Amino acid sequence: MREDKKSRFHLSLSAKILMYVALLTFFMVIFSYIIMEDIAKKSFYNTEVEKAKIIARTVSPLISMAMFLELDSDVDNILEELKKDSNILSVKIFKKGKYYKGFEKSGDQGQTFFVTDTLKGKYSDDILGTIELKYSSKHYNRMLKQFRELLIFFLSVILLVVFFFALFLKKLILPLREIALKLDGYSPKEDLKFEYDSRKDEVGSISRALNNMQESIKEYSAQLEELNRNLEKEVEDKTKEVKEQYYTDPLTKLPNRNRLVKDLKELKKGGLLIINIDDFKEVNDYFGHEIGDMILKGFANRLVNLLKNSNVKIYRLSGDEFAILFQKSMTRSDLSYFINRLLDKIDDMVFLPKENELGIRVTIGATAEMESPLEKADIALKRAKKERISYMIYDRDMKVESEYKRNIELVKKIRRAILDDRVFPFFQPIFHIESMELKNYEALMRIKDQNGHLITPNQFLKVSKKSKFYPDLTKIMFEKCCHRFQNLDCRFSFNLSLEDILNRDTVDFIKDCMQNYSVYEKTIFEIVESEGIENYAEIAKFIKEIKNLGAQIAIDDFGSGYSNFEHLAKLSIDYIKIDGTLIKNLDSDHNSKILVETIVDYAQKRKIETVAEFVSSKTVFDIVKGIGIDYAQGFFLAKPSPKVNCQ
Amino acid sequence: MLRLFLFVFMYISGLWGYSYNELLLKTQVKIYPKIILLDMELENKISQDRGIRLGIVYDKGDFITAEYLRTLIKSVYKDRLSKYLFFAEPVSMEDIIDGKRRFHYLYILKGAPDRLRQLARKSKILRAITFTYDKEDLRYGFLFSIGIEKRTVIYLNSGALDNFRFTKYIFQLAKVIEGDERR
Repeated sequence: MREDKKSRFHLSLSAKILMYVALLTFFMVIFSYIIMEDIAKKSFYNTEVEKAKIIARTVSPLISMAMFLELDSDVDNILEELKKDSNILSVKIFKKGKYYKGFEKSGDQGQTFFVTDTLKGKYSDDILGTIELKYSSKHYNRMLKQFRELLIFFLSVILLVVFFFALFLKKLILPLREIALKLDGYSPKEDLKFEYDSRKDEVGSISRALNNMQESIKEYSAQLEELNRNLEKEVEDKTKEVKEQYYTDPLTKLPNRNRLVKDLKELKKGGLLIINIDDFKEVNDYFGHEIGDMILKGFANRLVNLLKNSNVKIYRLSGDEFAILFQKSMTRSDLSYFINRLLDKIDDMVFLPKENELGIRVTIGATAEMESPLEKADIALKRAKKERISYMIYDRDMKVESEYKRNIELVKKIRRAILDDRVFPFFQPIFHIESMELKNYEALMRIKDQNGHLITPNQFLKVSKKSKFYPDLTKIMFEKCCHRFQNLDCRFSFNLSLEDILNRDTVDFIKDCMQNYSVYEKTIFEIVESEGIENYAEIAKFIKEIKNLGAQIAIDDFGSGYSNFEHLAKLSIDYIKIDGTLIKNLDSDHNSKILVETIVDYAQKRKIETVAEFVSSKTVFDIVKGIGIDYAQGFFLAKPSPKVNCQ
Repeated sequence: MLRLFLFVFMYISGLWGYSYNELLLKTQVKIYPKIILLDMELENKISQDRGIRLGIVYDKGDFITAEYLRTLIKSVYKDRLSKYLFFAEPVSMEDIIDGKRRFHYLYILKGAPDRLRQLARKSKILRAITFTYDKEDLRYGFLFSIGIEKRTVIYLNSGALDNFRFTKYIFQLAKVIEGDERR
């Protein structure tokens, strides 16, 4: 709209020149008129006044002389002469202040000039009287009128000359305007002919230059078009390639996760399966990645062959994960039927890497709901893995969403607690069973929520490990423990997870902290047994490093997993903390007792001291004592509290 | 006193044959001294006592008229003309012609033509500015005269002007005539 307005009021260069010249001339003419009229007015006025003065000055000596010589008749003569002048309206002669002679013409005198002169005698101090002369402005007005007419005429002529000059200028510029109009919207595909090329002036030069330029532009344009075509093709090919790469798995040539996400967006009804090859990492470890890839490719091909007549699409999502998308509405029973048949077929699949017969097992997560199907199928898969069943179909009753919400809230609480310094340690005493002496404390993390309620690690530890705040929790806890025990004469044991040990920053912080508070020998790190087995090398390195500094190591929850005495033998540990589930059942479960006795026997032989956790009653305590465990902790002996009481 | 003088004057002048117009005389007495003031060389012509001396030149037997004029001038000017002392003195034509007495300004009364001619010549030699009672006498070569016609007219004999210098306005007011019979 604005552009329209602009173009409507667009003025050509020639029109602009015309307009500016006209405006400039108009203002100059007006200005000149005002100035010249003013000058003329003043000049004419002064002239007329001067004329009157000259008349007065001319006659006054004569009158003076006549008065001096007392020739009254001569004075009359002079007055008569003055009277003849039509411009002189009145003359009054005053002799020694009194009216002496004069005349005054009757009629409308209009504007007049009034001059006076002194009538002097022979000597300057001899004043005879004064003469007053009234002079008509008729001549002045007539002169002024004539001047105005002349001026208007003159300025009109100038205006006319300027107008014709502007027209001439416009005519001169016209070819440029025509050239500009032709050039407006010029395209190299057009062939323009600028007609003024035969002229010798600048317009001719411009025309010739433009004609020559057109040729160059055409040539260049053709080259450019060719280049563009090639580029476009190249870009198209590359785009296709990138698109293919983006949507295709390079190993199996199946559509990948990106394609699945795209397809899911376009699909209103259907079903989704995520197939995970169980323990594929071990296949890779055992047979190598080459065989692993071959199995993956083989599995993909077999799936494709198997389902080529079904209305499904097969995708490879990640290393050992595949997906099958149904493009029609599926019920849970449809899915269940399909999965069972598929599992049977997969069970029958045999892969032969280098003549070794190898079968694979898979776990499947599925969903018939098409609202966030990928997430739902994934949840079902994880649940199936967790429950160690071959497949699971997503059900709203899994209440996974509410668990996610709870976890998100918990992470928020942890973050707030860190910011508000509401993370602190509780300490549970550990007693020497024989002497019943308090030997050390186990530090247990507590978070106080905004309402002052305590949150225990079993509520938040698992979630916190998945969040970015977990290293901060460990650091805060450890520093607070070091601070508390730096001047106390007892030890504290601190639980370290695998995540802590694998985090270099956390380990460095721990070492710095021990040095800063000088608590090397007061610190016992408790490492969970199962984690130690799974990451033996990393744990062994850490233990060595820490023990060199003077701290001690305890294996926590020993007996809870598949206790590996072989691994344990290689580690230089100081304590074995027997898993609480074994201890608390000592009074009722005979097997637990046998297991505990075995552990204690092993520890005693290796001169490793043992600790019994979860000692919840006198009965359990007595059994623990009877078995020969060195230390005990549990609600029976003392509950965890924020206080520390070292004797 | 002036009236008595006037009576005697009228009586005696009637006896000797020179008659004067009283009005003309009075007019001349009023104007001639003022014309003296218009002389541009006046400053060079004043006497040591800073006085202007006007010789009233009379012919034989016309002393009374000259004396009358002296009295008249004295009564009008009271020995002062503008900023100068001003004295009028009767002097016989012979004294002037013979060079016994000299004046820069001469008021010439009526006289015999021969003597008037001689007086004119002598005046010219003496570079005296001359005023005549009778305007007809200008023809002998005198400079100024006054006549009363419809109005008072100052006559100026251009032939006698020589190198005299007057305020230019006098020439505008005066009636310039060629009155020198010698030319």
